[in-house]
Amino acid sequence: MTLQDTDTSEILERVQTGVKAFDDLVMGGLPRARTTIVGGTPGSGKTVFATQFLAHGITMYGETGVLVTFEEPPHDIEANMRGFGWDLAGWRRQAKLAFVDASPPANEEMVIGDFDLSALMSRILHSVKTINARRVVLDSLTQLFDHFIGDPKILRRELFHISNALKKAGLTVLMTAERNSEYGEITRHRLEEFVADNVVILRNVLQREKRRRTIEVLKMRGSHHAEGEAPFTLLANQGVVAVPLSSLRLEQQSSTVRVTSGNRAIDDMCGGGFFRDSVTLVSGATGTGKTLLVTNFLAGGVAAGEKAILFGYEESRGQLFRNASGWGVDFARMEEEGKLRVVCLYPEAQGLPDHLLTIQALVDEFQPNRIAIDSLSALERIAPETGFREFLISLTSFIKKREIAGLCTATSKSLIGGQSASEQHISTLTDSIILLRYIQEEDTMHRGLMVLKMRGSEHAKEIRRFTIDDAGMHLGEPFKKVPNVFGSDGEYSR
Amino acid sequence: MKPDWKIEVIDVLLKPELAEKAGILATPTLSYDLPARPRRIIGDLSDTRRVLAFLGIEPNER
Repeated sequence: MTLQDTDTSEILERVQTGVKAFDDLVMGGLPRARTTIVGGTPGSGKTVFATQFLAHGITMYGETGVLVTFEEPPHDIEANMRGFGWDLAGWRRQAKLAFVDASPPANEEMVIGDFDLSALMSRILHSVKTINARRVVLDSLTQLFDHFIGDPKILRRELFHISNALKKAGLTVLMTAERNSEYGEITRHRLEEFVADNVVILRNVLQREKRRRTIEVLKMRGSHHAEGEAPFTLLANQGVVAVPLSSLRLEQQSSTVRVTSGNRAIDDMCGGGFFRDSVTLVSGATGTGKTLLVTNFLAGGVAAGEKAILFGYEESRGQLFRNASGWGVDFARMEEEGKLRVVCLYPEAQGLPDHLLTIQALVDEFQPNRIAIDSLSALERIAPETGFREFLISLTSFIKKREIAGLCTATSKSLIGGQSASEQHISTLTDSIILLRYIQEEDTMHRGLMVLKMRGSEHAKEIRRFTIDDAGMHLGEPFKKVPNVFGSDGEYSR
Repeated sequence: MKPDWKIEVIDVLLKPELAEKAGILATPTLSYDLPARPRRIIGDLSDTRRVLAFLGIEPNER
């Protein structure tokens, strides 16, 4: 790599793929007039990603494209891609898309002696010229290599010529290539070494019995890119949807506007309520009143004229509604008035990236002022640790970005004290933490509540005892002498 | 056997649409359009013996 490469980084024009989070990873899009290899194992979504690059070019950016297929004949691709909402056949008739059909021939073929691929090149350039294309996809190079079993050296040379000719014509080229394993050699035949300016890897890894799809930018010649794997999912009618890695954008401004927690006494403990765009974690053992705090939080918002949405992953709608009415809150009426939306989902129904997209889609549709998630622990159950952390980062930054108030619950494993894994994960990501604990005093068990952390605000430090009845939660006097709420029972904090 | 050959030379660089229709990728390609069993040879045909063998032509003239 030369100095010149780095110098051009600022002036490289970007070609958006339309996969928003991916474009962010590569600082706006793929560089114009460059080649990008998309590597992945079979089933990792290469063809979908590549086709989407052309489809979005046509629908979103007014750029026509040529699809060179070495694998399936065009009509098969047209049929396969219909499910993603892409009308390839229609675009083909409108001259917005052209195919170069290089799928394996039906007839016998034999290689004898030296050859070149100038016929293929002239077909591609001819199609490009016919529809005035700006984008070209070659899917997949591996198949081309398997087609000419002969000398791979010839193919490398020819591929090098083709990619150079396409670049010279100002085309942005995306080529797919197969990989043998998720972690190892970048592509079979090591194609990336001689043709690609940029390398992108799609992965489809089995982790804890769950499929986890990620996209990684491995190399961008002469340009910066974000590092690490970003999760993505394949959705009907959309194709590849990457989940934004929010480490890129922690620049949300913080609001100083306070909103009610739904409980006057807790508002007072927090110095006047939660911040409007903050995320609060309520952590406690089972039965300490987490769902009650959630219910108060939703009802308090609705009473103040706000709209609220609840994502429940532990209890059914029936149970949640019954609980609420037991505390004097009428969820059904709030829903009828369009002030509340209660969404109950099985955590196992889909992967975490899909859960995140579901949340985002419903929030964008319903436009709530506050959101509650009950509970994160149920979601944590289904995902490997890395996936869960990414989910949390994305979720909290999404909530903040929409400037809505968030309340999440986490269940601690032990009844007295102790921390759950979600607490450790989320404690640095949330703005406020409220602990609910069972506290033993002499011979009786009480419930205690404390505000552990309140970013950007003073808050009460004491542990308040509380009771629950049919009107909800009532905070009482602080405990005077209590066991260490973080440790095991028997340790006293003072 | 009375051979009835017709040879057509097409420059695919000048007529890419014909290459597209025929599905030609490589140059040179010899397309042997025998209706019963069409075959193609890719490459410069440098190995005459293998070319004839593949096409099923007996190399015994003269």
